[in-house]
Amino acid sequence: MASTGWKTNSGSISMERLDGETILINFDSGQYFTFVGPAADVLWLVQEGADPATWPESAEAAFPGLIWDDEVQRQVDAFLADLAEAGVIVPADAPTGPSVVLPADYVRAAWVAPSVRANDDLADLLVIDPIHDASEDGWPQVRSGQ
Amino acid sequence: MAGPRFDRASERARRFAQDLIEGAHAGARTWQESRIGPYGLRLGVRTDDDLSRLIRGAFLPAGERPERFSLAVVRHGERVGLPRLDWMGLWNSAGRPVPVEVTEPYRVFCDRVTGIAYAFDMSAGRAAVWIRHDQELDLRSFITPFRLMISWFADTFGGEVLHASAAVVDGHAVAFSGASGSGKSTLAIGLGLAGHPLISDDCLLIHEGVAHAVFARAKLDGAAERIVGSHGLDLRTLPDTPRAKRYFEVADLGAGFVGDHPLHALGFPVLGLGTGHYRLTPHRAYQALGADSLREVFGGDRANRMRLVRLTNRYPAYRLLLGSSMGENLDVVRAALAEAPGVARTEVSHAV
Repeated sequence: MASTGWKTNSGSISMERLDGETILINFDSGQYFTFVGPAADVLWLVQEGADPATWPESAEAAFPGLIWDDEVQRQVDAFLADLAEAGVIVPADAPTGPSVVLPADYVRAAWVAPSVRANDDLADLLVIDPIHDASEDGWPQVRSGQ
Repeated sequence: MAGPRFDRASERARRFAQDLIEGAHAGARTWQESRIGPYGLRLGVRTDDDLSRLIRGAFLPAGERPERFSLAVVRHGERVGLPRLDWMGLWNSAGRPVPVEVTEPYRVFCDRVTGIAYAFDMSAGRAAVWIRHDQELDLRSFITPFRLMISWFADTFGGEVLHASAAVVDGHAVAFSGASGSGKSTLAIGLGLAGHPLISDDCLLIHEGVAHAVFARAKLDGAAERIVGSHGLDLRTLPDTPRAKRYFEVADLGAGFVGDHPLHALGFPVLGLGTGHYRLTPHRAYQALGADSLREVFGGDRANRMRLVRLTNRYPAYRLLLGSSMGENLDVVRAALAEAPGVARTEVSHAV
């Protein structure tokens, strides 16, 4: 079982899930992430504040044939560590409570190890606030002093 | 941002929004069932005159969509006063929307240039637009005053409003985005007239992979007017606004108009550089889409940026180099679509 609780770093990120795909932007770094499959689902469990002790139950109910063994736990712990490294999640007191049902918004195939892939190609644009940072010449030109 | 000053501003902001919305709804006498994307929008006005009919006529009928929003439009002199604005201070003098952190669960903006005030209760879906003087409603573009409100509505259900036109070519919808004069309207309207249905002109809502029409009218610049005029459509002019572009009702296109369609690709037209196309990277597509959509609708908050990232990652984007011939331009769009993943290759020919 995961010994540490996590929560999303809500002050720095925005995220949205659609059809099983989660788009997440870290506005501090300008990195954006696309999570699908188990990666999106683990992130969902973090976002919902589900007790990590209930994650195996939630995942096994959603993924055909999944048995949440030590190997799966290692995959998830590594994924969480990568998310924390990217500033997406931060440590928190482990929540307690009932299990969370994963959303039925895509057809799940077999479990695969969740992974993090950060994209940097939009960083220079994403960190600009179009209302408050843009110059009179318009976005993406930045006001002096920004 | 929290503190006593914040709390006072926040309390007065909420009272302002509540008073404006409730006053406008109580004052509205005529209501109609319209729509915003997949949802119904109840639209109310107080005075049944030419201007109110023009406003009401800008919105598409609801059809079977479930009602989710109501919007009351009131004008100065209709006995619905504008609540006191002194609490807005710096935001008003800077011409910026009041941060949502201050106004939650409402959103508020007062446009000092046009004299239009907007308030929206996000939790109840109720909204008001207050117009100081009829002539300050920018009838040259007409629908512009409502973009902000439409954008706020869309935010509540995960939709994104783009400054874009769109049409369906060979069964595949393409959104055309670009600055005024880029050719996006002429292209989309021309395609609609050539049997490739227009989805929307100038303002497009994207929600769950579907492109939705927003307004019931298409504006015409000189080039588009020549194309449309030759097809015998009823071109109209807004009263008392001689510089206004002429417009027509998209419903007049008949089968050449479709209210929504799954989106397949993004196109960024440019005129006068020969004809052809090339693929844009997500970075260039985000920059091009953001330049014309983020500030346009006073969006640009984190959710807006996130949804534009999703769009430019999900859909292939192409620079479309347009010429003066609609036949050639159709070929340009078809050639770009032929490269788009998941689109069956179409024989390129001059079919217009």
